Amino acid sequence: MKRKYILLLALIVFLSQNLIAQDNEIALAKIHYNFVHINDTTQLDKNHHSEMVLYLGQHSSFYTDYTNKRMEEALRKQVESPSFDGSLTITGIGSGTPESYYTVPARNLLQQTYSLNGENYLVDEEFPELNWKVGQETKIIGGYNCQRAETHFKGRDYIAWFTTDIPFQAGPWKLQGLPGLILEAADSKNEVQFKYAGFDKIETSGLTVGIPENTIKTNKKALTNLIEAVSKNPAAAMKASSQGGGSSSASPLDSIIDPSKIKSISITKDAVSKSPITNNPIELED
Amino acid sequence: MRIILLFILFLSIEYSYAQEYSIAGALKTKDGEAVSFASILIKDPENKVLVFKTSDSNGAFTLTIPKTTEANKLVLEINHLGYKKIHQDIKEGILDYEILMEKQAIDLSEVEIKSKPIIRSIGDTLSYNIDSFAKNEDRSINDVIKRLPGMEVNENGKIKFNGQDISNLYIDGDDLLDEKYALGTKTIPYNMVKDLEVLQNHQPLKVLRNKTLSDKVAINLVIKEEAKLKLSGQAKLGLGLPKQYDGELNSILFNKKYKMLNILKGNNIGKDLSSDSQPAGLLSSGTVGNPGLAKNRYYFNNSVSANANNLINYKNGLQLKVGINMLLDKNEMKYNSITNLYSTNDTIQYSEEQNINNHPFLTDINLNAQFNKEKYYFNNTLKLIYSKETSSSSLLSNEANMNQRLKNQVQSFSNELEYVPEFKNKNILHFNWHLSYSNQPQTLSIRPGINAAIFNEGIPFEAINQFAETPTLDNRVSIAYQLTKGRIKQSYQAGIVNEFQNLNSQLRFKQFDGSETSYQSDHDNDLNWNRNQFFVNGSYEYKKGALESVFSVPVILQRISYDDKSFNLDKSETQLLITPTLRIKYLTGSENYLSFNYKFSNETGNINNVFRGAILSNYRSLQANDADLQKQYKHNLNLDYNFRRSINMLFMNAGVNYVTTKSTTITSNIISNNISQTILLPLINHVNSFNIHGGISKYIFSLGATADLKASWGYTHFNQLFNNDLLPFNNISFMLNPSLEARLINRISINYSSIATWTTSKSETKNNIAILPDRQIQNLDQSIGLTYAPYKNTFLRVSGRHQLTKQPGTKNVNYFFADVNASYKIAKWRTDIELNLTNLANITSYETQSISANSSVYSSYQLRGRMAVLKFIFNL
Repeated sequence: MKRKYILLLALIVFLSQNLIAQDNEIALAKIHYNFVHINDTTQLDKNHHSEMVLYLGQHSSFYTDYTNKRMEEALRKQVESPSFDGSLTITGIGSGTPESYYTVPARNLLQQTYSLNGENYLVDEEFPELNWKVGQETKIIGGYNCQRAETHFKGRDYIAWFTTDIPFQAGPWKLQGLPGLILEAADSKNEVQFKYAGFDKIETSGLTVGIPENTIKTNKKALTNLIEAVSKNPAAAMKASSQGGGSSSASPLDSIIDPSKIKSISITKDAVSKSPITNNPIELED
Repeated sequence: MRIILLFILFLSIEYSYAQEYSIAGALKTKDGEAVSFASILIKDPENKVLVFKTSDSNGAFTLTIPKTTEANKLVLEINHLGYKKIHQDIKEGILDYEILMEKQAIDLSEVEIKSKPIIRSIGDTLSYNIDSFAKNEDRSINDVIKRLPGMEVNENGKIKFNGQDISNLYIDGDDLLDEKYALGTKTIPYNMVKDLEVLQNHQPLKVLRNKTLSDKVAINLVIKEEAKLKLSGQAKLGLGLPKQYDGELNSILFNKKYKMLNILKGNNIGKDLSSDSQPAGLLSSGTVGNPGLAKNRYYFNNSVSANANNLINYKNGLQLKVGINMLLDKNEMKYNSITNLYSTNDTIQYSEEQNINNHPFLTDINLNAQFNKEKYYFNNTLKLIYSKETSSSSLLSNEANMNQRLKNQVQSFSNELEYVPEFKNKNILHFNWHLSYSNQPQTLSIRPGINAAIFNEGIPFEAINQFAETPTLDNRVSIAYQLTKGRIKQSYQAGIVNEFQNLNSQLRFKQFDGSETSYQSDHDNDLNWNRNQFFVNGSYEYKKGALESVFSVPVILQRISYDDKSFNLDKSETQLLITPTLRIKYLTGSENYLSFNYKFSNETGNINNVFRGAILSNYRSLQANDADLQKQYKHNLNLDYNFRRSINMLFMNAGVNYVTTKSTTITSNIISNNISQTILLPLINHVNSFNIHGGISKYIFSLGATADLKASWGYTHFNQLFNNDLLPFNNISFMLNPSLEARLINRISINYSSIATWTTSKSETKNNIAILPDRQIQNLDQSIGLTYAPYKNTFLRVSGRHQLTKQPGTKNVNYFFADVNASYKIAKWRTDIELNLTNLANITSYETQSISANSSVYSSYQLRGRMAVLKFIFNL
């Protein structure tokens, strides 16, 4: 019984990471990417892959994992089904990307949030000044006219396809600085890929672009230490964090799931899981 | 030399780059405020970005332009959300640009959404957002499904996904309509539906999920929240010329607890309202089938139907479902045909001209109770069918005039019980019980007596009466135990099958003096048939990584006995049948797989293959048997490859299929101009067929178009015994089926589809001489539709269908049908007005040519002529 509660708690905290604070800019549109990163060159099939979303505001953008949103949808569907009998089945989709990026180009601001055990850690990053070479090649992605551009960044040569059909100047991850929206990008070895998965306007919801609430400000070194610690002993780290008070942010799941109604939780893993070894990080050099 | 040339080339490039110049400028509002962080680009005549910059905090910028393009052709573009977009031509010689920016509220209405994140692939579920595929002219969800990439809908509303039939259609998770789902898709308005989900590897039984492998595909319609709240309905009323009517009244309610879909319809415009096809009986009123046209072109009807489908979900998980269907119809069909049958030394020809009046009445009731829980599954379905049909016709065959009357009745009852509990150790028991009774008494009366030479020793007589019925009782019970743990999932099944049948038939010739005689003093059939089976089956499933396989070996002990005292027939036979099947699926990627199927079947004939007394199955066919029970051994092999890239909306499938069959009997046809006699004779017969097929479907984002292409090539080898000649035949057919649906300019869309088939029938050679000449036939059937929507509430559709049949030695048969359909929506009144003009060219007869192994058939049918119907649709 206790195990179930811990699992549920883990779920709730896992899903609560991409809440966006209310006092930020309104999200006007969003673009979805399928992100693939071959983190272990010895096991090409066990790559890191997840669906990402870039929320676009007037001056800023927020790039984050969409997998959790999907999972939340799936859970909500199960709980709301008339035949829900207390047994939850959770199917893993993708590997989940803990990093999110908040970019405000006009202020040369780039911030990373890292989600770990239900906490969001905030780290200031150096704003990348990318030197893009715009090429003559064009192609159509998702119905939009895109033009090719190239740059070298953190040890990789990136090829990006951007469009000026959409009035935003942004892109996935740290790739930005082109006079349009980057719909697709990949490094020259195709080890890091951001594949276009759809664009939509956000018209009604009060969704905003910004750093999630209740983030813990830290620095890169401290965060790296923490990540290492957790990966060495996840159970202990989780226990520690829950004893330390943990996060108090409300989860969207709280409103839909009454823990007393859940009899069992079974988790089915994604068919292909990510290799635990990363010998090929995205950033090959500082 | 080459190096020097290259060097010169490099120099010249360097030279041209060296010829660059700079322009500078500043962005200001009319109040003098600097506009910082605007995106400034120089675009070339091809609208490509040449150079770009962002304005600094003072609104200033400097751009360095290479002098590769003439300055006068360049455009300066300034983008900044919150300001009006600026386009300004660059002028040669002017190097300084002061630009006035105008503030404006953020407005994304100009940004066109060309590719929403519509398809979300969550594991085995694929989801289509309906709004992004729907068009103004669409009404029912069926109209939208037709347009979805990967989907295919036939005329009866049956849906295929990637070439595979769907197993269930759910409405918010509930299967309201079972196999009659086409009724729902044609009725449910598309704007009630939020998403359409394709559930692949679908397992409808919750207790079996993640325990057994399934290759089923199902569809779930996710109903919009706002549409769940209230009862909705539509009233449709159509009136037209000449003397046409078409009406419908429906009510829809889909909420979590209660779902209903009730429809009342009536028309005489050629719309077929029957939802099931009738079982074929032993007797029929003619030898000619239906023409290869949409039924509404040749169906002279006057039909009324009522369908009531209701479903309730109780808190404890019980789901009750009631489906009631009724149909009353009067229809007419007129045709004439000429059939040529070729044998080695002569050609037999007969003609047939008939005018049939059918009066069917069909009704069926389905009652279903179900618990679908994680721990067990219980389902009981009771089905009752009653139908009655009287057909009367006047028939002229080879100058013999006659009147026919065929009475057909179907009564059937069936109950199916399924119980699947899960044990504490996670193993599963599967209990199934099926009990059914059915009978179809038929009477065929022909007046006056025909074929006196064969039937009545040459003496003319008054009438023929043929009666036949086969009451059938069928009982099947099986129990299976499934082990869900371990690397190989095992399931063991045992069961019994009992089949009791009795074939009764009387063939009577009524003489002018009122007495009745039988055919060649033959006896009537009173054949008892009894088939009992005991079977055990082991089934093994294995899944590791990308590989899935299922293997099963049923072993059947079968005893068949049949007797008919008047023919001194009393036989029984015991057989041991082993019929293994194997299915392997290998995932070659997350979205593509290879599948292989093998099936061996060992079939024995049925009661219709052993009756001895002659039955007149239609006015010119006399059937009897003179062989023991037929045995058939069949190997079926399938290899398929399925490929999808949902994010690019690309779907492909390809496959090969090989079937080889060996039968112990062959049908022998003795045919003369006026009658054909069919007897089943003991002679080994091999049939081999081979088929290759493939399909591709792609949504082209830039055009907003779906393009499809399907092709197949098939080869069949078989024998026919015809007037005591054994004729080996090869049939070869090739089919090509392209289709396209596209938006031409904003308001005009076009769809095109065509099916081209080439069929050749070759008889094999004996001593290098062809026994019969090859016969070839080509068919081309093209449909094109143009839709024009000048306003949001108005649309016009013109459609045409062209059919061409080519056969060497005969005249080409060419048809073109044109229809017009216009509709207008009055949003305020929640009313649609529709005008349908059909068959503009007023084609009233339709001729077809078809060939099979040794025959060619020419038929001509009467069609409904030009028609106009004005229809009002009220959304209640």
